[in-house]
This record gives sequence, C-alpha cells and structure tokens, in this order.
Amino acid sequence: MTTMGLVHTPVVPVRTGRATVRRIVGAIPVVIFGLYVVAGVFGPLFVDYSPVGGELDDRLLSPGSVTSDGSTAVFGTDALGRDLFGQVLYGARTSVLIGTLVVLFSGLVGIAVGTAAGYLRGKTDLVASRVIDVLLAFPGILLAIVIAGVFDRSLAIVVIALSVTNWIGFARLSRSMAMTLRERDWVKSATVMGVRRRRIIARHILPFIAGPTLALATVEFAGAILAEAALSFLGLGLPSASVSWGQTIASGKEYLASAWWISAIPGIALAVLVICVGFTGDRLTRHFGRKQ
Amino acid sequence: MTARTGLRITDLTVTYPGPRTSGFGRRSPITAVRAVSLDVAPDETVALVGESGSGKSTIARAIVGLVAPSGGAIEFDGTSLLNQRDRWARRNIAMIFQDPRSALNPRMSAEASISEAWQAHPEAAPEGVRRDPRRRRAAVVDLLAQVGLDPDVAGKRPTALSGGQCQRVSIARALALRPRLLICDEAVSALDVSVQAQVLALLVSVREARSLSMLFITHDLGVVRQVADRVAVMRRGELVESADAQTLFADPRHDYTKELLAAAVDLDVSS
Ligand SMILES: Nc1ncnc2c1ncn2[C@@H]1O[C@H](COP(=O)(O)OP(=O)(O)O)[C@@H](O)[C@H]1O
Ligand SMILES: [Mg+2]
Repeated sequence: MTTMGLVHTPVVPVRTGRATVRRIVGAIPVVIFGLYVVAGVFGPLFVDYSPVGGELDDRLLSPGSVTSDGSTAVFGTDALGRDLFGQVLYGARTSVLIGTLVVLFSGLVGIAVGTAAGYLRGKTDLVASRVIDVLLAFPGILLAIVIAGVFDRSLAIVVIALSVTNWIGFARLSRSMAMTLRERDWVKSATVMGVRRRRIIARHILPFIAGPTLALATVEFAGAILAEAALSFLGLGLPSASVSWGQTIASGKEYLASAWWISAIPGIALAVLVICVGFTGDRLTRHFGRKQ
Repeated sequence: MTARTGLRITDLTVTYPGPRTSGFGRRSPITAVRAVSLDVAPDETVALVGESGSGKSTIARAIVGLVAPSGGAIEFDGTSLLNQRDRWARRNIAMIFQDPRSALNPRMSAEASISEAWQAHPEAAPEGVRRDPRRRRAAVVDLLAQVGLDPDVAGKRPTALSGGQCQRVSIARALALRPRLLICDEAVSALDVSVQAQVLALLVSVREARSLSMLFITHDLGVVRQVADRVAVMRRGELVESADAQTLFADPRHDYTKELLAAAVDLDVSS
C-alpha cells in the first residue's frame, strides 16, 4: 500500500494536467461542429436573408462595411449587394440539412443491406456484394453529377444523388461486423434457443453495429457536405432560390482579385466544418475501437 | 406426445467447406465428423471426450442445427432433427457454451437474457411473465436461486459478473424452457479449477432434480468420472470407443483412450 502511494502521488497531478489539456484540445472540433449545427438550425431564425433581396448600392462591400440601411455587413457583400454573413448562415443550414438527410437515408439503406448480407449470407450476400462491387467501380461524385444533371434541381434529387454511393460505406461496415457477430456465442445461443431472426438482428447484432456506424456517419456527413458544395458550385443540385456555400463560392470566382471574401469566407466555413467533423469522427472511431 | 427414446445419432457425417487453396482455387473440404453413431438415453449422461479438434463441438452443432450434416440421421424422442428445425426441438434441447462471457449478450442484463427464452417460446413460459414485469422478475429470481445465484444478479450485465456467475446464468437460461436434453460443450473448461468443481456439481444436481439427459463434451477426462454414466471417445472425427464410465476408467480398450486417461488429472466433485 505505502509503496504504491509513494510511487503514485508525484505522477498523478502531472498526468491529469496533461490529460486535461488534451481533453480540452480534443473537444474543440466537437464544439465547433456543434456550433455549426446550432448556427444552421437557429441562426436563420434571427438573421433575415433573402437570395433575391440585394441593394445594388451595397455591391462588393468588404467585410465590416456599413451598408446603405445602416447595418454592418460583418462578412461583406457579394456582387449583387447581398449580405455574406446571411449567406454563410443560411448555407450552414443547407449543409447541415443535406448532410443529415444523406447520412440518415444512406445509413438506413446501408445498414439494412449490409446487416442482412452479413447475417444471412448465401444468395442475399452474393447479390448485395455484387451490387456494391459494381457501384464501387464508379467515382461517387461523377455518379452524383450525372443523376443531378439528368433530373430537375431539387433537394430530394441532391439527397438521392449523394446517397447512391454513400450507403456503400455503411453497407460494407455493417456487413463485415454482422459476419463476425453472427459467430459470437450469444448469437448462437439465441439461435439454438429458437429466438426469431428479426429479434436476433435487432437485439444481438444491431446494437453492436451502431457505435462504429456512428463514427462512420460523421465521415460520410462531411463527404456529403463537400459533395453538395461541389454540385452547387457546378450549378447542379439545389434550386437557385436556395442558399448553398457552393453557389456562393461559384458566384465569387470572377471577383477573386477584387473581392476575395465572396469565395474565401464560405470556403473557409466549409473547410473548417469538414475538418472538425473529420476530427469528431476520429474521436468516435477511437472511442468505439477501445470498447470493442 | 412422443415416445421418450432420447437422442439417437446414426452414421453422422459433417463436412466443412474448408479454406480455399487460392483465390480461385477449389475448397478442400474437411470431414470433421465421420459416420458417428451415438445414443443418449432419457436420464442418461454421456460424456463425449477427445482431444481438441476431434470433432466433438461439430457433433453438438449438428444436434442443435448450427451446422447441416452431410450424412446420417439425428433423432430426438423419435423426431428427426434434420429436416425441419421445429420449435419443439428448440425448446427441448438446450446448449451451454464454453466461454461463459460471450455466451451472454454483453448489453443485456441476466434477466433480459433469461426471459428471452420465454419470449421465443410463450407456450413454455411461466404464467404471466411476458406481460407482468414483476412476475417476470420473480420467475427469473426463482431460476437464479436454482443455480445458486442471488436475486440481485438479475439486473446485472455479464461484465459485472464473474466467469462462474456468467456460466450459472447460462445454465439458468438453458433451464428456463424445461428442456429434456442439455448439451454442455466444454461448459467448465474455461473456468478456474475451484469454480469448475462448483459448476460441475451444479450441473449434476440440476440433472438429477430435473431428470435431464445430458451430452457432456470435454477434452478433459478428469471432469468426466463424477458426471458421466457412459463415455464416448472421439479421435479425428471418428468414435473409437464407447463404454460404461466405470468400465472405461477401469479397463480402457483402445490405446488412444489409455493415453487420454494417463494424461488426465482427477477432479473431485463430491467434496
Ligand atoms: N467452421 C469451420 N470451418 C471449417 N472447419 C472447421 C470449422 N469448425 C471446425 N472445423 C474443423 O473441424 C474439426 C473439428 O472441430 P471441432 O468440432 O471444433 O473439434 P473439437 O470440439 O473436438 O475441438 C477441426 O479440424 C476443425 O479445424
Ligand atoms: Mg470444441
């Protein structure tokens, strides 16, 4: 007892100090990600912005300028005199909404297909695996561009176009997990007991897939946001009446030399969000990796 | 309903696909069990022994339908277990696995694990356990008491229990449906020696109290003497000797059985 006390007392405070710093630094991306979500969800309730309501007198104002109605444009204005702060805020809402919908949709499809393939094996697995192999041969963004280009621009089309390849990640992860889980003794003993398949999947397989899937979901969330920005940049995807970072970045590309903020500010907003989501995903992966 | 003739295995052969020799190569099948015939009479305990890899678990898996045999027949009380995996067989044959922890879902409490059996077989569940949580708890606590566990184990997850406690919960769950045949695949092999003796003694008393048939699988002849009425010895997928426990221990016929006996350390349960 005494030796343990002697050895440990000097070490503990140093360790905890460093650990606290690391915990705080590690939490920063999660907090920033949270701020984006909050800004995207609640920001538009407090800030008015309309994509058609620009004052021509206020064209290309630099960040911090005072506009003709006396308010301050913190992020400046674009070539049509529209407030950039509003665009970034409403763009955050669009990004968070698209990311969430794509992850929900492709997550549900992917987990359902992957779990069924991994647990049932046989023909189900054969068919699912071939479909996945074929889809994997296409570059995802190319497929999304084709789909978004063929149909009229709408939110639903963007979500579908991005989900078409996004579900594959979920399917592959849950398939491989279901294949290992089905060999675990608790699944076998439930089978031997005569527990029905649906219940085995719900109680003995899915709960163990959920955690790692959540980690993957953050990565796919970032990917969907980037892909949506790319589509909007190309003038595909969302209707022009909606606000998207990709559209704003595209609208600023002629003014890069004179009014850099139009493209740069939403670009930075996009990059920071994607990086923070990436770090959050890494943390979750590590967390669930430890628990396995 | 059916005649009580017990478990009857005739010429059972089980073949696994085996690994592929190369990416496109043919699989080279492994015959894990070859033409094994084995009976377990009602109220009888048969020990299935043999070194690791001899095909003992494969026989257990074939009985409970986890692998499909490539030949032979398995009957229980006159009903074939091969064609249709009916609920009747699921209810009457229970199995205990080797690893006490992984046999229980780590996210489920002992109560949830045990009452899942009643969920699957409402016809065999005690009155009212599916709707009334208090009755369910009472029925679970009653089962736990039968395997020597305190009532507070009901709310605990496997991670909060010791290996021996987990194995007792597994036994309680196996008993929940009042089966007639209990298959124990290395059920005590993963436990500490002192706990082994306790769990073994529990299995013996449970078997007596409920007049269960038991197929007791182990690679360790030392645990067999106090448990088994009869011993069947397996080697490389084949049954080499099957005899009355007393006879086998006193006068083993086969060289392989002699080797096994020589290697075994006696474990006394009666103390
Ligand atoms: N799922 C499987 N796939 C392929 N071969 C297997 C599988 N399970 C067991 N085997 C092989 O079958 C043989 C018998 O295994 P098993 O029945 O587990 O033996 P025991 O329980 O006596 O140790 C071994 O050679 C083993 O390698
Ligand atoms: Mg085995």
